[in-house]
Amino acid sequence: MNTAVKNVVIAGGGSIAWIAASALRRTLKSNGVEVTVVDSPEAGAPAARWTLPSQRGAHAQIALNEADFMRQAEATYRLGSEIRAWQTPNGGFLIAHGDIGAPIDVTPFYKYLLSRAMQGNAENPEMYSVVAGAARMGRFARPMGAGNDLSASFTYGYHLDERAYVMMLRAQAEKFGVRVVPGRIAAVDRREDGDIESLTLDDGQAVTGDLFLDCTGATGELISRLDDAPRLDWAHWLPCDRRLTAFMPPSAEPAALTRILASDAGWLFQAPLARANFVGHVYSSAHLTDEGALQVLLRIAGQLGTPPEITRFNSGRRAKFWLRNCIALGGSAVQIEPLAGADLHLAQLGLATLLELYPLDRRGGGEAQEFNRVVGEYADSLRDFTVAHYRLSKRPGAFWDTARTAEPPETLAVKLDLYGAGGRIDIRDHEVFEEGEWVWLLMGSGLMPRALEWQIARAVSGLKSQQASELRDYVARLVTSMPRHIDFLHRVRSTPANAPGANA
Amino acid sequence: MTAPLRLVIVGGGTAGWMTAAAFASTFRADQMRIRLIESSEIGIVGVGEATLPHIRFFNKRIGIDEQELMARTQATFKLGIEFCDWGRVGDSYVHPFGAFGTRAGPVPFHHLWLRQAREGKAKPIEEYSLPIVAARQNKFALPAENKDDIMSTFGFAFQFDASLYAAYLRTFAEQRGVVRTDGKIIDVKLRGDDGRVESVKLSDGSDVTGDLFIDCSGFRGLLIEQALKTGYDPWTKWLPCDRAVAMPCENAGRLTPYTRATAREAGWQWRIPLQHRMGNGYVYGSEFIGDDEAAARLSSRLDGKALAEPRFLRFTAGRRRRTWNRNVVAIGLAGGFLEPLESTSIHLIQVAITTLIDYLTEQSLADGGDFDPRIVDGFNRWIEMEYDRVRDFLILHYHATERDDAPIWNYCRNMQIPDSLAHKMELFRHRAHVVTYKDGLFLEPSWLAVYFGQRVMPEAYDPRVAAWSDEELTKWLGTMHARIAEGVMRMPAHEEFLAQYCPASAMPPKSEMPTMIAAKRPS
Repeated sequence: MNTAVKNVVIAGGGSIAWIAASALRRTLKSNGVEVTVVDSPEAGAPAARWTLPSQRGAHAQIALNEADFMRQAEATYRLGSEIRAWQTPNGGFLIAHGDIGAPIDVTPFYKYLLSRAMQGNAENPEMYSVVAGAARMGRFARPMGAGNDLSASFTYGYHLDERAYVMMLRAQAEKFGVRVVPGRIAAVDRREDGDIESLTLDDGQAVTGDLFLDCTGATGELISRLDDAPRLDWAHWLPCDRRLTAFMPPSAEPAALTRILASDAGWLFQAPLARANFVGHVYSSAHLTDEGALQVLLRIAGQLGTPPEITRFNSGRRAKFWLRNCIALGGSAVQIEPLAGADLHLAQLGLATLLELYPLDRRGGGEAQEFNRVVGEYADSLRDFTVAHYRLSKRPGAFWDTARTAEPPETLAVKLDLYGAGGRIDIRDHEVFEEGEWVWLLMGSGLMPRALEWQIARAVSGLKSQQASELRDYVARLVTSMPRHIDFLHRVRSTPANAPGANA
Repeated sequence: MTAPLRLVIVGGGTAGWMTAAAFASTFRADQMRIRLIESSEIGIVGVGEATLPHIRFFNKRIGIDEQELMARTQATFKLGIEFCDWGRVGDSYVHPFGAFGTRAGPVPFHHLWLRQAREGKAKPIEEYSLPIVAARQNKFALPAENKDDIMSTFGFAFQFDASLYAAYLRTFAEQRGVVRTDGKIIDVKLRGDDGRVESVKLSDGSDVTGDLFIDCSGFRGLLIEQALKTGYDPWTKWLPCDRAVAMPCENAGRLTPYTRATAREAGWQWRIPLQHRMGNGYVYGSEFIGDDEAAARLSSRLDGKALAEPRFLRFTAGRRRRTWNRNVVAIGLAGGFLEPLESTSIHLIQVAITTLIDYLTEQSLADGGDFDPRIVDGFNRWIEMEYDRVRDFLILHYHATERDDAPIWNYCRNMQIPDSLAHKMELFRHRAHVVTYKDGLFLEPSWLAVYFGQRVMPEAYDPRVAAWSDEELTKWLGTMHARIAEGVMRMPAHEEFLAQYCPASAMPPKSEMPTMIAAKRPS
């Protein structure tokens, strides 16, 4: 059995376009699938980004060596984000890519901390977390150790320079035999039945295909011509609609951490790169002018190293990402502020779903409907996670009041209700984040359950404070035994390509 | 320390005693006082003699010794369910408790198999499932622990006498402090301010008050429906059977380590082998056959001599609108009814019990049943999802048929099915893609068994299979086939294994009502 859909045309030249090109070509080469990328700019792509751990899997899928990647993409490691001043002016918490403590039999350790907090003995979960300790202390090592040991209790993502990353991904795609056609899209040509037949470029060349991926970013140059359905707008939950960014000189000793700091009309960020810092301000234009936003950033950052760039965006998603023979991935499908750093992750979940459902013929048999259902659930779960930051904030001010008081999406309301009533976190079929990430966010935001589930309360009551303090000590010892992030980076960046150990 | 929560379980069938046993083994006496009210005048509807492997989690959780349980309930082992005559008359397939083959990389096994089968290079798919091969040969052994061992690729469940099971759980629960009250409920008293159930009045004039009531009173839903008027969503348009008649018979031939469900002219017939007898029944639509004729058909199709008069039961497939309403939780038939085609009755009881225990908070125990509405809603959402997913899977059995020899099959073949199921079937037909979910019953192998078994044949398979060479595929499938065949060869016969593991010979059955769904005695 083979597929009649041989010719895939990917519009857009950002990172998701190239990852999709390599993955499709590599996976479906035996089926005679050819991939062409129309290398045109991705609207609204950031100059640098922070990613989730899934980027490691994406790299494995397209055979990208980690040392090469770290060097060429100017990357640093990322153990999580620090979210500051969302609750109290000086308070902050981490959302880290790793565990808090170790399970008590089968009960997650955070339930013990909740139980202690309810008795008036609140402790900082970071004390029990290797990943948090490392992130705070500027340390980094790849997860190691066996099985359940805490030295294997975490994972990591990256900070990367988008332009350098894209160059690297393009070279990789070309290695797999992806055809590259530079040019801007002048017209989208339709067949009689309404499907896309070809893209006409600004030089008059027509690129025909059976299946088209729209990776053109916010403008959605293909999908928006097919889709007259209303977009699902998220602005009433997520009022930020501007991103002002610039580069600054690197920190002497960067932590493997993205720093997020609340402002009066949004939030500021600092993401360390190997030879720069990527900084910016994400804000609501209804609450702050562009000039005002720049002034706020300058007050915190001092001087910027490059002229600031301002990007507009509208939080929301398409009701359907797969329409006819066109599939939107990335910004053409979903736009959301980068608070959770999940843009690429979400696009890759879309790509993985596409590989499961790669069409066999032009007629199709439910693939588009399934794709739209599954990826829609993923997108909504990212929305919920992002909205929860605002819903649980305690920061005063007009912007924050607006975001906080918006009636949350039902799926989020249900999640917050269950946690608020009994400390339970239910993860449904297709969610971007697992219980672990939600715990960091919910505990960090200070949402305290009314009670604990009785069974859970009993399970954690067996843990003695002596055992807890031994666990804290063990975590501290592990953290201090880890190399400094900067040293680890130097070592990785100086690893020759293809050397043993160069792979993650 | 606050007063213990007063839990009152109304009804003592399978659901009631499972609830009592689970709560009694979970909560201490100073946290919860458990009372079960049942009337010896009212017979139980002993739901479910055939179980699913999940029951083993329940047993482990509450501390039941399975070997002892099996010996006391005349139990046999179960590796799956054989479905006869569903796709066409003469067809047979087994829904196994285990996977088909082993996935290779990202592509599920059945796609590899489909490619080989198309080219005539594969054996029937059931030969790549160890539990099916073992079931067909009437063999059984406990699964291996080592995940690399082919003998670890299956699970098992039990077939037991439901009345003995209830009796076993009763002893278990009473030993753990559950107080049983023999009495008939004649009135339910609601609290004025919030409409919660305050107490039930028994025919001897006494009142039993409680904080949380579990309604295990069966179809009539004494508390959930008669007192609280919760409402019921019927699913009759998809599941047209509304009657059953049960009739146990003597064993004849070998003890099969599986349940059998045979499609009939107006429904289907179950056959559940126990150590001391065979459970049989005919589930049918009253629109398609009369009670007497159904009973006559059933009695003419027994393996051995009938051991009892036919017992009849009426039901409506569907689900209670809210399983937990105010301070009443409906468990078992009071919560909903799905015919036992896939042995889900006990499973749905188990899910309701364990979910309820998991959701109960310290606060709700301490405050005498002041249940946080957020928890009640969360519980109800979960139970709804479980029921709805089982529903779709059952409807598939009725709908995916080529039979045109009886009105019921003509109706089901042509009926409008739920969109969620139509979508799943379309994707399977088109490309052998199984829509999976994280929570809820019936994973990929279950759907595959029914699709393939009932001739929902895919037109294509996952194109990624093309990355495999012919030699690689032939070797992969061949090795698997051989390992399964060898593994099963080493397994003992089911009877032999039973005889040394859990013989019931020393324990004659105490119950007078050995039926899967026994009818109500006149009350």
